Amino acid sequence: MLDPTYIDSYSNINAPYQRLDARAKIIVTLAFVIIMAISVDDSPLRVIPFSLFIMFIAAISRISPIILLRRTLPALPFFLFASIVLGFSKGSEAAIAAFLKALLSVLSVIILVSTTRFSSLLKGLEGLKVPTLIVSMISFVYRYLFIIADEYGHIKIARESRNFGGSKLWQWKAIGHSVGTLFLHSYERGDRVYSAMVARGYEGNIRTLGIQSIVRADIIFVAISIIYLLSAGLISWKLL
Amino acid sequence: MHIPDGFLEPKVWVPLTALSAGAVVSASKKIGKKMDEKMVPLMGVLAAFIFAAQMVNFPIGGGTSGHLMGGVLIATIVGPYGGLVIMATILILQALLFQDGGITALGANIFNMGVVGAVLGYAVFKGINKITGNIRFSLFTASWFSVVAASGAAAAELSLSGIIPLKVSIPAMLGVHSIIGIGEGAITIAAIELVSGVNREALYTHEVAGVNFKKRSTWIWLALSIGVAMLLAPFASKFPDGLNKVAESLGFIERGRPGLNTPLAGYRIPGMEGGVSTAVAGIAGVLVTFGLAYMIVKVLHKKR
Repeated sequence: MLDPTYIDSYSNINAPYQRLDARAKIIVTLAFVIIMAISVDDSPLRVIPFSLFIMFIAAISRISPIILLRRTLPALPFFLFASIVLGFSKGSEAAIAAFLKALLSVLSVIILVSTTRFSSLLKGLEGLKVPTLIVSMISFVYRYLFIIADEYGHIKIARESRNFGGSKLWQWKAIGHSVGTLFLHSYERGDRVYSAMVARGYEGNIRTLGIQSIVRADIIFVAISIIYLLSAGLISWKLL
Repeated sequence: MHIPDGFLEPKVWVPLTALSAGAVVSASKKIGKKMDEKMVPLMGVLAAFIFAAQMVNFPIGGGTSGHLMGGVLIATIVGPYGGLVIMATILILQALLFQDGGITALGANIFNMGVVGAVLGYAVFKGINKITGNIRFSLFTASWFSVVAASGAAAAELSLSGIIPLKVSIPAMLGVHSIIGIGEGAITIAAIELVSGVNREALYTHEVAGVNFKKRSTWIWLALSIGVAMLLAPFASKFPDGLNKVAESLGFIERGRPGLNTPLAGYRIPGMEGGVSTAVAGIAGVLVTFGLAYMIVKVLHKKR
């Protein structure tokens, strides 16, 4: 699961949706998730216009539906469990509606992150006034997560080669010390990373060459999407 | 504990989103003031560390395992504000890349694991440490509390959205997480102990360095807890246990009764009446909990 190439594999296709500015895609995804969360409550029929929208987005991004559904798999068990619990307290219609809402929200996020290069996504977040500290921290986590998770893998192998196995309560101390060791390694790595960055001219913000520009297509796309989503929300709320 | 989209109602997630956004922005301003540019890469790497640490599984008995939340751990390392910002960063990434937690539920998840898990957990650590002067005990209690309180908050949010009645969700979530919390506490102590022995400058909370275990303060704390248990126990019976209630309405309790013969059943001592019985059962519960916590701390404290 922790393979960095897995996330970016669809961002280089030359499809209409990929050509849009990251900010436009982020705004539309947020609008989709929020409008659906507010306007759809316990009736599964109200989900229909929103699922049409997702199908449209999936079509213009040319992601294969099989890949898309495969990426939702890790999240499905919890959706199913929570929907079944909900089914007992509010009835089967509410359960189906909640399940579909959860699924469509996840699909919209998966389409967003898999059609946008991660660096553009971060630039987009920054452009939308997300605090710089948070954005640069996200970029660091994304860079180092895979390395540090790997590092814990090494610690685990070292531990297991010393006859550590099974699952017993007295392993807590050893596990705790492994976590402490992982921290020390990360901390030292953070130090080295900083020195390396200063040596390359780092002054507190990350510079990239990619310049974003909002063109007419982006504005039209955002406007049409939001008008469609708002009216879908309103109509389904009034009629269904 | 990550809540996905589609299950929370707007009346729950809208205020929590506003609250968490405010908390994260003011926390990043607070650390931004006294932060040199060196802190950003460091905090980023430490956020990656907590992300990885959250994948660490530990056995909780019965063949099952829990995994770390790391709220108190990161707050003792970088302070409560840094801890909140780091937890928020991790949760945003988990929602975006790993479909772990939803977009509309992001505020609720940041509230549960960042505001409650890291900031409140750290406040509990500070408070208990001030009273008892016992770092291990404070770390353990704060870590345990952070996990239990975060799960309680998640349960309350799901209940407010009408997913599941509060009387069912609270006992179910708190029950599981009070066991997971013991593992979280033990692992937090062991991790901090190792770090404070090797690299003290790495820690924000300098009093954590040179951990020692004072016996006398433990007894004071034990006495305090018994006092609280005696005062509060009579009220406990006024809130009927959720599962009991469900069992009763479904008719399980009649079938279950003959076999039900646990000590302190229903928090009452057989042969004693009313409030006194409940209070005594409460004290017994406190003693057993303390015994367990003491043993765990002792075992961990033992040097090789």
